[in-house]
Amino acid sequence: MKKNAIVEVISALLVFLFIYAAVSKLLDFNKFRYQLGQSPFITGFSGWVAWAIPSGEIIVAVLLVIRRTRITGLYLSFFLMLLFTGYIFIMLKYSSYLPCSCGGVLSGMSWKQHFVFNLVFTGLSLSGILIQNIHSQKKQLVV
Amino acid sequence: MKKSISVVAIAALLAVGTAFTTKSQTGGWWNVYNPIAGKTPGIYFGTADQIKGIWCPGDNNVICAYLISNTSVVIKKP
Repeated sequence: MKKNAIVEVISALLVFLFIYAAVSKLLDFNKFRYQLGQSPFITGFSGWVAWAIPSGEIIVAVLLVIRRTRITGLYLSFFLMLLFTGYIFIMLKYSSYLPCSCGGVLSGMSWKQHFVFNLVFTGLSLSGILIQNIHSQKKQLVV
Repeated sequence: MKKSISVVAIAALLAVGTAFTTKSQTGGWWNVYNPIAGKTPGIYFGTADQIKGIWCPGDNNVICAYLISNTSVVIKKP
């Protein structure tokens, strides 16, 4: 029960992050698309990436809200956060120009702060997966 | 079970509300006293995003502007 509650809190935090980020991007969609276009690694396909990112975030959030699909949501959250963190790492390491295409208050963070922030949420989603899996295994053993 | 679904669902609703609130709250007068090279310092009106995009684009390291009505709200530039 306690472990289940931890997964609930982790899922709630991830849902908050993904929905907040997606809505902020969609509210300022033109700016977001323009900033993505300035990124040296995305310039060529910024049009569909601009739609894919908030759509992906909303889909993952919905999967996390529905209890039956939560584990899939956690795996996808981990994948998404790993992708974002990897992107920031590559930008910090190899790009001389760092345009911020993040949404809402997240755009106030420096790239290094954003990197650490993403690492924390990547760790949270991984913890959620591990706790959920342990919880499910124990449940099966009891049955 | 119902209770656990609602906790995560409430987080989703809160996120939507927060996104709208933070967007509408940031419009105001800014003292842009340390803009990027080529831009003129001055008092400008706009949302944080607009000020950031025009006078302080790029990474966030040095304070570029502050909101006159609440000086703790700042925008940074490279």
